[in-house]
Amino acid sequence: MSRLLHRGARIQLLLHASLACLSVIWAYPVIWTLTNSLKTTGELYSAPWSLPNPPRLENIANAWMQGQLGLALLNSAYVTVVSVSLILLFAAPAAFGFARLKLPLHAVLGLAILVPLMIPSEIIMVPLFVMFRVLGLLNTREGLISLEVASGVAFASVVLTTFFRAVPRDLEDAARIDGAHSAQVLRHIILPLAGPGIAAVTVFESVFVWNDYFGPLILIQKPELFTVQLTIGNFSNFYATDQVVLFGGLAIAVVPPLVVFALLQRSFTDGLTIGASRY
Amino acid sequence: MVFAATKPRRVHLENARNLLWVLPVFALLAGVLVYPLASGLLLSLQRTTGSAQGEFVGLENYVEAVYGDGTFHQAVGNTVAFTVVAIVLQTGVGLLLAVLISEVRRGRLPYRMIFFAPVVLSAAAVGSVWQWMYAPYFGLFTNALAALGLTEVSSSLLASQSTALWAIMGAFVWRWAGFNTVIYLAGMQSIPKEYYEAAMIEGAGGLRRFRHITWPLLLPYTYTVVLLTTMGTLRIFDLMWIMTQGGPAHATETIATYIFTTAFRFLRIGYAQSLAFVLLALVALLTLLLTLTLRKRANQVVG
Amino acid sequence: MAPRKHVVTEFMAKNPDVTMEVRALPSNIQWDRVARTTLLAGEQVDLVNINGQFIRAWVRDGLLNDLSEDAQLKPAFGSVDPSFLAAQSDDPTHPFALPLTHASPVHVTAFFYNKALLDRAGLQPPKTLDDMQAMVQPLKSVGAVPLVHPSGDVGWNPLLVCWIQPMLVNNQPMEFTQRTMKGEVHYNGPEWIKTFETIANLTRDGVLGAGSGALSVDAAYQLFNQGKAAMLYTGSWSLPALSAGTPAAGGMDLHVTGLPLVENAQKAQPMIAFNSYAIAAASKNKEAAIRWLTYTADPVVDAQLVEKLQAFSSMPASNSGIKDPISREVAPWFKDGIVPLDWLWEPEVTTEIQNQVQALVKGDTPPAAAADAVQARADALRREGRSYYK
Repeated sequence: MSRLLHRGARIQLLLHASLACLSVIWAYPVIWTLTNSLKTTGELYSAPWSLPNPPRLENIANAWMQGQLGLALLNSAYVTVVSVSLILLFAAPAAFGFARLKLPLHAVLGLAILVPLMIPSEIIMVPLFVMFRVLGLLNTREGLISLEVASGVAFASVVLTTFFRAVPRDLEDAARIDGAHSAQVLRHIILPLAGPGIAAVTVFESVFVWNDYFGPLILIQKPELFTVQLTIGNFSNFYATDQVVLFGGLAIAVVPPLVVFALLQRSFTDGLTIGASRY
Repeated sequence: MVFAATKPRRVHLENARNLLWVLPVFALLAGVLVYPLASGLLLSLQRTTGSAQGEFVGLENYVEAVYGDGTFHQAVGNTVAFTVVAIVLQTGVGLLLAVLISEVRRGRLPYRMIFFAPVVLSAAAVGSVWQWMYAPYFGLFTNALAALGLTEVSSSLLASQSTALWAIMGAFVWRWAGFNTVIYLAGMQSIPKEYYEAAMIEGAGGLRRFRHITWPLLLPYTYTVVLLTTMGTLRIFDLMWIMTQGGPAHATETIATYIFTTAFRFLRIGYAQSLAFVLLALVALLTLLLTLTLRKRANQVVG
Repeated sequence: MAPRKHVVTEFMAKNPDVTMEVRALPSNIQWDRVARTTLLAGEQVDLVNINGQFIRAWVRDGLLNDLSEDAQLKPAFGSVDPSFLAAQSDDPTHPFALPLTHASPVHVTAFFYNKALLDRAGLQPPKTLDDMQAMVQPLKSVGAVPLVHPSGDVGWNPLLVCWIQPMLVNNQPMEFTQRTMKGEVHYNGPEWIKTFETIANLTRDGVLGAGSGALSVDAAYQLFNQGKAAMLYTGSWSLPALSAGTPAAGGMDLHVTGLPLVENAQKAQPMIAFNSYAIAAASKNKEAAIRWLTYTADPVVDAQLVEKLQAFSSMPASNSGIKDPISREVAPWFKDGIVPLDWLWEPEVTTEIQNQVQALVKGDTPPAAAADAVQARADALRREGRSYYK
């Protein structure tokens, strides 16, 4: 018995050691980026392994100013908040309908909503550009929002349908007997009970929209409308020539999402876990 | 007596009402997805440059793409190769990390967090970070390889035609492996402990337990991982564009980057769109293939 | 930048009915795509500050206006040195752009070197390629290489061709290029193969530092400033970055020398590079745009700008205002200058050459294969009907 325990403890130690090693390797790119943002360009080339001496915050400040990251953050925030709200506004009713639909419509439309997931936006980027130009939606935040909403609404509908379906029928039937119409059922019964699902979808869609690089790249050419990702991706093109300022910009791009993730990480992983097991 | 096989009217009414709920979403998708797709099809049959009115040339664009465009062939080759290797690595690394983490009795959370964290970073950030990691002289990766004596500190994996695409693969795996790990961990939680206990009683070692219990029962999850990976890599654009813009000499050109350059730098709108439809065909084909092969096997195991 | 902004402000003051908004675009290879996409998006673009390497393609694609049609611009074209008009379109009598200091100063390519480093190695600045080969060992002993080149930024690769090729074709580069583009000479003919071979040999012989194939511009500047490379082949546009760089250990003493001679050539022909102002074909404010061009082409305005920027102008009269010592070192080479050859090639061919030269610098490809690849691209272009010469 004691040998089994002893062996178990050794294996645990080995596991922790290897995982810890892998974790350090996994985290190192980010750590490296952050240390570089505190160096001078000379230090970057002459002493790549050492720590900055002394650490300087100038690069981050310069990146903020040169890249107009304050403006970019505002653009990203506006687009993300409005897009995710609209996604939920479209997807929740749709999921409600899907969850309650009977065959054969259920199968047909269920398939139809999966089709957009198969069609990547890269395939429609050109006619979309042309269409948006005609509609005057290029270089507008509204145009970008419509693209983000259309891109995210299918996924949100599918996921929410799974959660809505899990709400027990009896509760809805009881409410209907009391005279509630569908809208009330949705608002007072389904939504509260599907809370975790809505949280998961909100988190996921927010991450997708905030991190989207391709959409803004196609639709936005005016620098004052750049989102954070477009600014970061374009940094060496449009802005700094001093290498370390580029790292300053990366520090700004990388730290906030990681902080948010650290705080909310349960929502991320739990949502994915539930989604994966239900699939 | 004849039994009329019609649906009760109540069901029809209910379906109609539920349809109303679903309508807005489909209307939105029709406008922003279906319409561009349709107009794109028309566009792909024209020779259009810039915003000028194009002339109808039938399937000429497709013929040029399939038979005459060497760069497009290279892009397709790169994309498919990248996809195949990505499937293997994403499944392998994701599963490996999941197995390691699942065996840990206490303190799984920090590991899960660290491996998953890159998922929340954007492609622009990941691409930029890794671009500098591979940079000559000060790049982290470059210096590490040089310290091991494998390469010169003045070289860069991104600048060599033979290694550039696989260097990008490194960034890709770093970004997504944690995602697949979490999926696999979810799957592993659903495997009843009794199976393992029974196997251990029969004297099966770790590897046999994995092959006969873990792997088969995880097949549905592997299917998910493979499907998601494939759909993500066939269309991949961001990482390549940020890190190498399709270079050096088209070594990292993917179908999506080539469409982008053709449309927005060379302004060959019609031709670019025909390439996009070739990509669509490829996606549809591979998705169908995967669904038919893997999903059947996955369902067989579970059902 | 401030002196240029000053000109805009003064122009708007003198023309109260005109407001001019300037949008900066990437100054690297992404400029072409971003500029074209901006036009494609239907945004109001009247004036384009365009580098010569894009002009022919833009003219081919119908994106610019023929400026010879405007009588008001004749005096402006008159003040500019005629040699600058050669690259403004296919036909010098129909220029599509006006080379003006405000668009960018005129730049010339040269070899910049660190005299302090050369002194330490006991070397003189090289006059020929053989001299450069002789520099390899002495410099190695002080931990440096003769030359680095930012081949990683592929837009810089045609510079190598422009340095070497003119001297391999009897100093008749313009005529040779025209003949190549017409198909009378091939990209995989002897002259081009010799050009590619010479470039590949730079790396082989250690003249070009290992790793140049991956180098970005900033990295190249850094290596030069830190005394790891004795020379840098670039143009006067790099002067601000080079002068402001962090000084190398052991000191930096910045000087300029002409392009080293190749084979038995008697003279080198540096490139003259500049930007021009063009009027977009889709412009709806042509009249205002012409007013701007006339204003900036005014010799008085130009001379003032030159004096403030201490940079060269396409108008010879303004250049007497240059007092900066290094700029004066650079001045003599203008007279032998040529138009950059990548301004003449089709953009698709240019891209191919850029990529192939990078591969040559890396030692990844044999010169013959590189030449064949370029020829294949040119052939494909001809088949598609998109060559400049049908």
